[in-house]
This record gives sequence, C-alpha cells and structure tokens, in this order.
Amino acid sequence: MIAAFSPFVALRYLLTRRINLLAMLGVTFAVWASILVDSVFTGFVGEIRRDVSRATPELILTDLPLDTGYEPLRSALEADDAVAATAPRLRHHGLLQPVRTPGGRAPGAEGAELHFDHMQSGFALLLGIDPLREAAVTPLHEWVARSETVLAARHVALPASAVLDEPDPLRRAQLLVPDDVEWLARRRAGLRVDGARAEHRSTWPGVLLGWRRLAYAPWLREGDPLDLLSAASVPTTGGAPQLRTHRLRLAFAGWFATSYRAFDETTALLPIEALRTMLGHDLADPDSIDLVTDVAIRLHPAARGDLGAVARRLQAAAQRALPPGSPPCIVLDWQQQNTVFLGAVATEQAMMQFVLFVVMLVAAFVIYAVLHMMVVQKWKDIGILAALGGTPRAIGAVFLLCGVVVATLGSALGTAFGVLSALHLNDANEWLFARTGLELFPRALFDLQRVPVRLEPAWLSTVALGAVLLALLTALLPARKAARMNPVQALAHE
Amino acid sequence: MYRLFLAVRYLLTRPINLLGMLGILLSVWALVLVVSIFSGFLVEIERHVRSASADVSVHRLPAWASGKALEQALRDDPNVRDVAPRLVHYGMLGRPGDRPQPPPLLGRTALHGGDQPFLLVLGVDAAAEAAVTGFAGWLRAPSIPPDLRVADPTAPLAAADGTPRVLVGLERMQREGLRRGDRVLLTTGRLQGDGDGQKGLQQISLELQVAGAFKTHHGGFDGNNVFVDREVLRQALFPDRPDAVQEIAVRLHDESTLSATTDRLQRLVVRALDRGDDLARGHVQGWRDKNGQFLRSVEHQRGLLKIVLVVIMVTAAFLMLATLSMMVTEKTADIGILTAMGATPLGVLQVFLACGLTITAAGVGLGLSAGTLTSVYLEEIRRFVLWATGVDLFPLQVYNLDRVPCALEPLWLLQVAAMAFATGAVVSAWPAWRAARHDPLVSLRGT
Amino acid sequence: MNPPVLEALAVTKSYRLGRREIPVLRGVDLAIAQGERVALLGASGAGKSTLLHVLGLLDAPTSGSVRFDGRPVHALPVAERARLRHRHTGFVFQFYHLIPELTALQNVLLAGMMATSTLAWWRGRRAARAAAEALLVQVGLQDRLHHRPAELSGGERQRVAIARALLADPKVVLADEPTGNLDSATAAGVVELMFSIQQQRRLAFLLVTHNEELARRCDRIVRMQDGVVVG
Repeated sequence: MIAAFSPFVALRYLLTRRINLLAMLGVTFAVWASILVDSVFTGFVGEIRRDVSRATPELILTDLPLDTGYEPLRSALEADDAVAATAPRLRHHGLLQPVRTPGGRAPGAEGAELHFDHMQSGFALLLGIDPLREAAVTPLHEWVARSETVLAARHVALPASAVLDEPDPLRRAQLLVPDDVEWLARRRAGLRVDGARAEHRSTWPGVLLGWRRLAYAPWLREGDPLDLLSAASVPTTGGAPQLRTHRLRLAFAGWFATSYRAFDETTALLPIEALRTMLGHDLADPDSIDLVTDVAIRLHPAARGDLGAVARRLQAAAQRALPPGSPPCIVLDWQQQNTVFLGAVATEQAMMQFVLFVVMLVAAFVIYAVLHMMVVQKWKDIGILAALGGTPRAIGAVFLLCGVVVATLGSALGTAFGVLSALHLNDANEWLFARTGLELFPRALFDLQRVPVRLEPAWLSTVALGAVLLALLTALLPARKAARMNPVQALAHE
Repeated sequence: MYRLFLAVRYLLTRPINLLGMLGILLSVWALVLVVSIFSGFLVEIERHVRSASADVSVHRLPAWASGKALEQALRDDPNVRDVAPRLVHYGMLGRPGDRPQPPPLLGRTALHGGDQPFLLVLGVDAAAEAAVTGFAGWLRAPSIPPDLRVADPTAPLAAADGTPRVLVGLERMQREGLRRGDRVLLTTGRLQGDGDGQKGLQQISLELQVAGAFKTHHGGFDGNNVFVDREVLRQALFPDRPDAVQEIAVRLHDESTLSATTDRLQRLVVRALDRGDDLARGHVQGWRDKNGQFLRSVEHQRGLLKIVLVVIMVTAAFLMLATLSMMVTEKTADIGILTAMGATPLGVLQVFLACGLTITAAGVGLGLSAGTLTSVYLEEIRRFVLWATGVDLFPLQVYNLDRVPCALEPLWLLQVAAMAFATGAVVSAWPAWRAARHDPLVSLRGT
Repeated sequence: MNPPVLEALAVTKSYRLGRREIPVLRGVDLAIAQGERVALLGASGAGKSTLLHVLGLLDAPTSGSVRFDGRPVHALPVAERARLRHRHTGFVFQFYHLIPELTALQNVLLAGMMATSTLAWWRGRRAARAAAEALLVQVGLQDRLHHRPAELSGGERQRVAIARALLADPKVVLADEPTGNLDSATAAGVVELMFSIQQQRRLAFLLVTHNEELARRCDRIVRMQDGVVVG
C-alpha cells in the first residue's frame, strides 16, 4: 500500500523544483544518446553480419581428406530432407600476375618478374566453384551484380560482368568471356590471335576478382589475361606425390562484391574444372575424380530451426560417405565459419556498450544528487510528515516516487527522441552536411552510402528499463536516508 | 581572499559536490581508458609492422637494373645510412614427399594473415640485411625456444655441407613441426617468355636446410616470408644475371624526414633507371605507405568511439550543473549576507565559479590519473579478471598481441583535459551567473 | 474522574553525546484524561519538549512506558507508532511546521492522507476535502484556503496547523509552545480558538508553555525541572 500522501507530496516537490527538470533532461539525454549510438553501431554490426552471411554458405562441409571426390558426398548430403542444394568447392592458393608482353600495353612496371604492390595483392585464395551449382547455394549472381553499385559508390562506373548470364551452360561453367571480348583482349595484350575476330572462340577460363583488388589493378579490363602461378602436389603414377608448379592462363571476367572485406580482398573465384585440371584431375581423364575441399550446403527454409542438429546429422552422413578411417570432417554454419571476425566485432560492440553504461551511470548520479539535496532541504518536512503519522516507508516512498517519475519521464522522452532521431538520422546527417559540411556520423567511417541504423527492441527496452531501474536504485539511497531520520531532530532542524 | 575562502568552505562542507566531481572523473577516466586502448592498439600494430619493415624500400625494378649501380646511387643520398639488395620470389615450402594442405577456410585464418601455404621467398645478404632492418634481432627474439634458434646468428644463411639454408617464421615452424636441420624443399617456378609473349613456367626445386626460426612482431610478415641467401636464389632464378636485384631495402639516418627522403629517392631512382624513353621506373615507398592498406584497415574504427565519449562528457555536465545550481539555491541566504557585507556581483560570481572550476579540476586530475593508471595496468587487470571470473575482457590472440595495448598520447590527454575543463567552466558559469544576479533582499528576507 | 487517555509511567530519556549520556527525563509520571487540559510548565531545558515527543510517540523512552487508553504503546514497531500517532494524536508546534509547497487546504488535507492508501483516498477525496474546508472555516480561514504558508501571517499559519491537527479527529492534542512565536494579540486569538475546540471536542490537551498566565487557564499545571515533575 502506498499511503496517499506519498504521491501527493512527491508531485508537489516535483512541480515546484526546477532542478528536477535538469535531472530529467540528464536521463533523457543519456537514454537518447545510448539508443542512437547503439542503433548506429548495431546497424553497422548488422551490416557486417549481413555481408559475412552473404559471402558464406549456410553450412559448409570441410576438413575433408585430400583427394576427396564430390559425388559420394553430394548423394550422401542430398539424401537428407533438410538439404535443398549442395555445391562443390575447391580451395587452392596462387599468385595472380598480369600478363605482360614486350609489345603490349604494360600494366605496372615493365620487365619485373613479379608484381608485388602489397603483401597480399598478388596472392589469392583461389576458390574453385561450379557456376552451374553455386548459385543454388550462395547468391553468386548478387555478388557479381553488387559490384556495379559498390564501385559506383567509389565513382567507378563499370557495368557488372555478364559471364553468369551466358546462355550456353558449358561456356558458363568455364566463366568464359564473350568471344570478341577475349579476341580484343588478346590484341590489347599483344598476344597472337589466330583468325578473324568473328571466328575467335574464347578459351581462357574466367576469373572473378573481389572488387577490393581494383585498387591494385585499376587498369584491368574485361578479358585481360592473368597468369595464375601455383604449386600443388600432383598424383604420379605409382610413387609419392610430387610438388609441381603450374601456370594457368585466365581471363579477367569481372569484379564481385559481397562487401565482406576479407572475402573481397583475398578471394578469386574461378571455374572448379579449370582448377581441377591444373591439379591433375582433368574432366577428360577417366581416372580423375571430381576433387573438392569443401561442400557448400543450403537448407530448406523449414529445416533452419535446429541448425545444430542438422549439422550433426549431415556430418555423420558425410563421414559415412568418406573412406573408412578418414579423420573426422566437420560441418560449420555461417557463423562458425567466421568466429574470429565476428568475435572481434562483438568485442568492439561490447566495449561500446560498456561506455554507454557509464553514461547511464552518470545520468543516475544526477538523479541521486538532486534527490539527496531534496532530502537535505526537506529535512523539516520529513519531520512534519512523521509527526502527522507518516510511516518511514511512506516517507521514503515520497523521494523514491520523485526519482521514479523523473527517471520514467526522462527515459520515455529519451526513448521517443532516440527512436525518432534514429529513424531520421540519415536525413539529419545529410541536411547537416549540406548546410555546414559537418557530419554527425561520418559516412566514411562505415564505408557505406547511408549510416546504417538498426533499432533493436531488446536494446531499446534494456536501455529504457535499465535507466529507470538504475535511477530507482540510486534513488533508494536518499529515500532510505529520509526514512531513517529521527523526527525529533528533523523538527528541530532549521 | 574571501572568495577563495568561501569556495573552499562550500566545497568541503558539501559532500554532494564529490558527486559532481565523480561524474567528471568517471567520464575522463572512461575517455582516457578507452582511447588509450584504441590508440595503443594502433600504435602496437604500427610498431609490429614497423619492426618487420625497412624504412624505405625500392621495388618494381626492371629486369635489366643493375643492383650495384643502384645501390651506389642510393648511398650517395645524405640521409641513406645503409642499403640491402633483395630478391623477392614466391614458392611453397615443405618436407620432401609431404603433401601441402589447401589454404585454410577464409573465416578460420588468423585475422591478419600469415598462415597460408604459399609464401614469399626473400633472398637477402645476411650482413647487409642486418644493417638495414631488425634482421639480427629477429633471430634472437626471446620467444624463440632454444632448439629452434639459429646456431650462428652472425652467419645464419651460410650453407652447411653444401645445402643452402632457410629461415622460417617461428609460428610456421611450430605449426608445421619443423626443426633445426630439417631438410625442406622449396618449390617455385620461373616464367620464361617465348618470342610470342607466351610464357612457360619452368619449375625450380631448391633443397634447403632449416637454419632456425625468425620472429618479428608482425605475425603476417613471419607467416608470409622465408629467408634464403640471395646468391642461392639468384643462381636458381637468374643464372645469367649476376647483378640481379628486385628490391632494395634502405635504412635512413633520420626517419623524421621519411616522406621528403622518399620523394628524393624516387627522383633519384627514376633518374638512375632512365633509358631516355621517359618511362618512370622503380617505385620508392616508405614503410608506412607500403603497409598503408593494412594500417588503415585497423584504424577506421576509432571515429564512432569519440562520439560516445562526447556523450559521456555532456552527461557529466548535467551532473555538475545539477549539483552547482543546487548549491546556489541553498546558499541564497549567504549570497544575501555577502552582498550586504559589500561583495560585488562579480565577487559572488567568482565564488561559485571557483567552486565549479575546483570540482572540475579535481575531477579532471583524478580522472586522468585513474585513467592513466588503469591503462598502464590494464594487462594486470585483465589477468585478474580472467583469473577471478574467467571472463577475458580482451581476446589478445585475435589481434596477434601478447598484452593489452595501451598508448597514452600526451596531446590527446591534454585535449581531454581541456575539453573536460571547458565543459566544467561552461556549466559552472550558469549557476554562478544566477548567483551573481540574485537580489540580496530576497535572500535576506528568506521564506 | 475519567480514566487517563495518555499516561507516562516512570519515563526516562537520555541522549548520547559522544561518550557521555545526557539524561533529559529522569522518571516522569504523567496522566492526561479525556477532556482534560494540562499545562506543562518549566524553564528551557527542563525536558518539556522531550516529554511531549515521547508522549506523542515521536521518540521512544529510554525506560518506562507510555500507555494509550491503558495499552502500552512505546515499544510498538515504528510503523505502528506512526499509525497510532496519526489516528489519535494531533500536534501543534511553535514554528507551525507547515509544508511550504502546499496551500493551507492542502496542508490540512495532508493529515488525512497519512494512513489511507492512494486509491482509498482518491475515492473519498470529496469528503476529505469538505472536512478540511470545514475545519479551516472553523478556525476562521475561509478566505485563505488556497494561500501558501509564505502568504499567511503567523497567526494564520498556526490556525492552519490547528486545523491540520484536528483533521484525523484525534483524542489527544499536544501543543508545543503554540503561541511562542506570536505577538500577544494574535496569541490570544489562537489560544481562544484552541481552548474552545478542546472543550467542544473533549480533547485531552497537553500544552507545553512557559507562560504562567496561559498555564493558569488550564485544568491542571504540571511543573518540570531538570527532567522530573516537581508539582
């Protein structure tokens, strides 16, 4: 029961003391800032996670033994009702070098054996994909299509590559650039061209590069030849496998953009058959196998509920399909595939939230200060209330109520402002930029066109309720002080 | 005099002022701590990169370039202390008969690279290299276990019993279980153009003996590079060009003029390589430029943090404003008496301003000290928290660090102090001004 | 003779000041019956106010007991004592002790809110308001209902305090030098008012004063000196 005088007196105190307004504004500000800043950060993290998930298959079967073929795994995996599609993946490594010829246009420095502008630029993580199957598992078309908008944002007008739209599936499987494009590229590079333009047929397998390599090779045009230098152990007839170096000529087929930074920086996508051929498993060879290092898996939407169980089941199925005695393979979901990176991002967000908690704490201090002062100033009133028969609890409740009202109003206002400003952040940011040249949230920071904003209901309620709760806790101290006073001394107080 | 006297009295008799101070303290503390971690992180990464780099490197040299002539030209520059020619190639390293694993899945690699099977092979002269980079120190890094250490660090690459030697990054050695004296095979290739522009790849296999481990602070560098003797690599790659060079590492006398020197050397190199065809050859880069992309990728997160820190400041300002204006309200009677005794409004203003500024100063001072202390002892705090609660506040291995980074930049501290002080002054000014404008008669009459 | 409403039996009270015990009451016996008007006379520091506080349950005695309607009440829990204080005792203080933020009417109403829940009070607010207004009219403040204490004269403030003390319809009124802060003309008015209400409501009335003349108008005079009743 709250004695009737508690809210009554609390209300009078609140209305007659302007300092309460300040405390309320303090809470409003803290809540507003927490919501806004975190919504931007959550938006940013959400964007990163979306990028990562865009670049990553839903599940991947990996840690396979060397010389594993795709077919047995495919049938084992696709026998499971949860699996919608699978696609073969072949990881390899190599060095991509532009082809330079004495007579041709020399990109970069002439004559040097190798072209290293950056420790990683020449190196590529080669990802052999089957363009015919890959699109069923990852948004391959989107990766390529997005490059146009991503590059446009950096003032590079380049249409997205059309290699995936090639009607002939055999050509599409090799990511071949159009015949005349390759013909022109050969001419450009000063390479020998047999026959007329109209008769030329493309032969170089295509390679799609992450758009971040554009910085190192701005001169690269569709069809331009690239040499892939690599080494791999090749099975020899009898005897131990031997390490062999390889060179594979590829045609630059276009840029892709998943926006997952690490992926776009390091990965080169090329036809899996081209890579298999380089590694000694040519399609035409009857002894060859359809070599894979991973199998990318997409699930039916209905099966996504219990990802862990599905992953375990698929792992068991795949393990049975491997030769007996193979080391255990593993099935990873998209987050498990990127724990290091996602963990680093989460750490950053946790640091940010810690700082926001400090903000809340300081705002709660304001309430404490105001209430504490109020108790000191109203010492005599407290004595009067006690003399009139107010119980200590009810007297404490007066100040607690003050704190709660201030915090609740502040928190509600702050939440309202926070949500409003988060929704209109980009407009405000642009308006401010247009008027003053200042940016509240510098867009360059996010590498994005618009400041990403995401209001997380969980965080909203945590902040809003947390502010009230924190204020309540801090208000308890002055309230306790008021409840514990000795009425006789309080009455004598002057 | 009475101003100071009163200000001190007011402060000492009102513990609530401590709270205002606490607000400033807390915000300054958080500012200093968080920013010092972030800066420390940057500084540390930069130091790591720096430790593995030459001051300046000259690369993209044409095939016909003469190492000797170029070296001599570079040495003529007053700021060049030493130069070291290098050959830079690529390859795979493995025990004979071993089959290399495919590269790790993208998301499972170390955050800053260095665990790929494919690597760069640096052909260096051990003596020249030691004069230009921290090469000698890399071999003596204390974290290298004794059994992986180079036996003779003064001549680490000298061939023993006819087999040339190779230095491998410590982590790669440990990961692949390599030991000193192991025989390894470096597989690489050489492009050989035919007259038609078609290039064939001629395979080259070098049998090497592991001389020991090297360790810089830059995990990416250690993982991506191995060292062999330059002459060994040259004979394999360019048997007909005794003077071949692909990169020249340069050490400067004075690093503060890095960019000016880089520009000067660039002109010098272009002149030395000019064949009268107006083609600019050779590229000179300072270490910061050379690793620019890597450094920038680490730096871009700091911006948002500063916004949050401003938010704390403003909240602390609210707290100060609340405590100070309550003090003024409470001291209205005093203000009346003071005025009656002949204090000018300005004097009254100064009393309360002094209160506010003292609180601010104390808060800033304590906040700076607390922030500095926690920053400096952060690693110990992290270990304690890990030990006490099992929570790791800062996952170090992700960033390839051995302790929580922290860098206190005096300029930044000064900026924080100035910002906090300005905030304190502004929020003290308003209540002080209110006090000064107060009608003394109202105070004396009381209510 | 009526049975006593409020009794103090061998009440002692001492305060600690640092390490020293300072005795203020050293065994006081006092009984006030219904409708009785008792004056408590004594010099400053004789313990009059302390006795009043102990009788009003604002302060607990160090030893001895306080009885209300024959029931020992001094050892009840603090909330229980507060409730009792509200229901049975009205205070009138020398310095009025009104809450400055509230109007005269609100100050009186406040006394009605002490033991009622918010909801119950809200339901009965009209009746409570009417009662408070009636009391203020009775003390002659019909024109000052909505004035704050700062806008009232000393006499008017004390009348508000009297109205407030009466709102809960107590059996006992304890007045601590109610005219000590008023000029004599105003004081006379306030005294007349108090006494007439006391008679009308048959209140047990304890008047702490050092004004002999005022004391003589009471049924009984109790004199205190150094913490004991001397006659």
